[in-house]
Amino acid sequence: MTIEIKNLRKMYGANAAVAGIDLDIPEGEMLVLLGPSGCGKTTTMRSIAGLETPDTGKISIKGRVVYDAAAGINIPTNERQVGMVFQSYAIWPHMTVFQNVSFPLEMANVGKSEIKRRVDDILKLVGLTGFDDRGASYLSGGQMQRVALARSLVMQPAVLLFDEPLSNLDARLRDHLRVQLRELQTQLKITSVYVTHDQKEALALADKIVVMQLGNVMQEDDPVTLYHKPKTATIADFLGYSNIFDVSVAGSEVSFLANGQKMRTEGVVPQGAKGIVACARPDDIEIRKVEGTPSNLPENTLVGEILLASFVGSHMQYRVKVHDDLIWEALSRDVYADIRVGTRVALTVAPRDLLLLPKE
Amino acid sequence: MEFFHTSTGRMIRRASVPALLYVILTILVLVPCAMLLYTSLVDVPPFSASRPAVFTLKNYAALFDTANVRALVNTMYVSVLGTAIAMTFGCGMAWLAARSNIPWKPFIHLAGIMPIFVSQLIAAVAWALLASGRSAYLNMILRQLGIPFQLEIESLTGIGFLLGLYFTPFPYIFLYSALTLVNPDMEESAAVHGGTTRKILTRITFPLVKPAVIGSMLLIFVFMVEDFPIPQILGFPAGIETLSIRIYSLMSTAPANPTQASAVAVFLTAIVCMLVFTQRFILKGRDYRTVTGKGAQARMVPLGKLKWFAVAFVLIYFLFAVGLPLFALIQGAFRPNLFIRDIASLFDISQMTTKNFVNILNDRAVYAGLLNSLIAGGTTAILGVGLYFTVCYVVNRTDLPGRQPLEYIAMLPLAVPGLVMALGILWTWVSVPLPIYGTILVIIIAFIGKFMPAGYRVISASMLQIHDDLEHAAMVSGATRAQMVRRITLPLLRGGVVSAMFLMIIFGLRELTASLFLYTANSRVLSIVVFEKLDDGSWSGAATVSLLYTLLLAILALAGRKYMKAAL
Repeated sequence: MTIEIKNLRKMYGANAAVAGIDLDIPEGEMLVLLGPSGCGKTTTMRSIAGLETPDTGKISIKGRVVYDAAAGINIPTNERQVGMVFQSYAIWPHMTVFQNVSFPLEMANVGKSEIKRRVDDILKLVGLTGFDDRGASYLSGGQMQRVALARSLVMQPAVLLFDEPLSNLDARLRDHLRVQLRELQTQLKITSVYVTHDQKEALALADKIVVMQLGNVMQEDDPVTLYHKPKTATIADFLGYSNIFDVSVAGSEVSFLANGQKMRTEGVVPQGAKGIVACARPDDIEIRKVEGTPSNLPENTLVGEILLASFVGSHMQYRVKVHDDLIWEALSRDVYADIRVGTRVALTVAPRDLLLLPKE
Repeated sequence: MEFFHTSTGRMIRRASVPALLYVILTILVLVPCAMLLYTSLVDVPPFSASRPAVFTLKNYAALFDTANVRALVNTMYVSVLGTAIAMTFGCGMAWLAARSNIPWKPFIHLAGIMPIFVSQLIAAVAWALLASGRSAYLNMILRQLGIPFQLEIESLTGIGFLLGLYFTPFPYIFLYSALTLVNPDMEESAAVHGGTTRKILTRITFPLVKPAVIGSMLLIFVFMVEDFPIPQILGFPAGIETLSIRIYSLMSTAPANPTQASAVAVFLTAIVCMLVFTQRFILKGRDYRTVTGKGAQARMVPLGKLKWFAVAFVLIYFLFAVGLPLFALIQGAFRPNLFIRDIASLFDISQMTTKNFVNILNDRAVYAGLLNSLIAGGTTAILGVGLYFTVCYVVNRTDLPGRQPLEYIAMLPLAVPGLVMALGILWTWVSVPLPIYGTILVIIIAFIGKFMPAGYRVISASMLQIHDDLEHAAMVSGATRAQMVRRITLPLLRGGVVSAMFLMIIFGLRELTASLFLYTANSRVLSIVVFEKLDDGSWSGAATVSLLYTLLLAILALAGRKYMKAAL
């Protein structure tokens, strides 16, 4: 393990920002901390960097204890050998690109010629060759982000921390840099912690995702497992399961509390839950036009009326009213289907795509 | 045991910096206040060792004496009048500069800000030359023009008028920045929803900047209540006393009554504190300035035919605050005596002389004063700004224990009138058996304490603009705190630090109040030289030194303009 965190807790007044969590990050992997704002993900990461002092717990990086509340150990940030890319980029505006990137090496007393060589190499790696003498305040957002990345990489840190580094960029640049970041990370094999509230970013970048909520770890899985098997309705909602309905379950048959209609599911009934919800992703729903009152409908099909039809490029997005309290969202790839507001449609969900989760 | 040991050591090390700052700020601010309170409660001042002091309340009972009550009434009269004048000029010009299509905008802006750099002492001297007594220039002109009306600036109304003129820049700056920071979207959306220009002004713009108006109004009222130079120069000769002058005359007129002066000072401080807290209370949570736009250009209201009235309004202010006083100083400095027969001789070169300049340039007291002023201003700039930066850094950028109250102590001198503080410093350093009282050092100590709120604000404003990620990035990159401050924080703060230093030097050169209580034969500063020339009745000498003095201030203000722009 490169990073080991035991029982990390940080209080702000009476509220726990981080409520005693354990994390292990293996060498060379990228761990993504995912959650809404205020869930404790940023506090956790800043505690690793030493920018925040936790109340209890123990943190070690590459076998070296950097924080231990019980033993009174708290290694200052500048001796922790971590790299960090900030949300605001934090590029020093009074320095050139070269001066920004060479700063960590100067602090480590690296020789002049060695600094020159390593800065050149790293600027080449992030695609900023020739920008050495550019004043940092004359860079675009994407360029600043790359300088920040170069500055964190150049010191060959034991761990690299990312604090929502793409959130200030526009959508196209964000997609582009996300791919580049994944490429770089898998190529260089740097142990990384990445904080974000964007599920798409998390899924694309992570070797492992840790979902946090109110200071606690809710789920810890690889991206594919997390995407298909969220553990709670809240996590499902956060991952884009926009159809979440209260149901009762009998065997493999669920019954929607809204209108009593039934569907079959392959989902496992959660044990000891106060209530149960059925969840489905909008892109797992099949939608087609129907006339009148159709008789021979296939299994797991509901009929409803279109409330909203919106073209979003690769898909059509629909909102379908089956009942006042049973309104579904669906995405369809068939953008030419003549489905408009008021059209009657049939919705079909495959039994394996209908998950059962405990209600919170 | 080992760990226990290191963590205790660490705690002591961490507490040492705030502890040292507490000691410094206590000596600068809290001890003088305590000494003043003590002196007001005993029957003999601290330095008279002939017999032990006895506790008494008679100094406070004496607050109800006719002279003290009259001083209070006078203080309120000049402050209310002054505030009304300053708000009229300040708000009017701010709106014209920020939101109308008035021509010559850079000049309008200059007229609004420049008087802040004018020394009140010099302005009062100049206005005494202009409008006091039969031989005053304006009175002579009035007679020549056959107008049967004479001005008298050495009166309560005159004092209020001058206070108003020289505190106008405060409402101007407050309101100008508030008006430019109001997001134009808010006014445009009012227009889109059917608001007329007049309705938008009264329903949207004015309510948005109301906190700035109320805030600056209370601020200048406080400044006027505690003001010293203007009432002193104009009121003292005519026997008119405000509370601050009352304190000075109780100290300086035989038989001196220092303990009662202290009680009046405590009373004045109580009034000022009450006003400052009222201001805080009214403004709490009502600062809309954070509601800023993206710097979009605001819509300018067309003035139409009123345009030239607006220009005349600004010109009149500029003439009163800068033009006429400068003219009077030049007349006073280049003439053998004050008497001028008629308007024609005002502009008759043959009646002019450079004799006064020759006298002044051979006057060793002037050189000594200039040198002392530069030493006091320069030392205050370096030591003071160093201290303000350290306090500001500890408060805003560290988690050291006990850091927050440091800020309150640093801002405390706002609620303590300058001459009250000077009196407290006097009692403090007279009692201390160190060779500090009677040297320029005690004046520097007073300056560092008195200018602390202004200096601290300039530095903290620019420090808060620097995202702390910039500093964290340096620590993550392996920099120690010292390396980070040197390589990142200070270079980024350069503008704020330099502008604070310029302000300190200018304030130091202008200062009269504290110096007057603390100077001795060896530590006369330039303002004291002017003051003593007036005391000797040498008006030409005072005008000549004032003219040179103004030149020096103007050069400094011009040199620091680039940096101070951000601070103002």
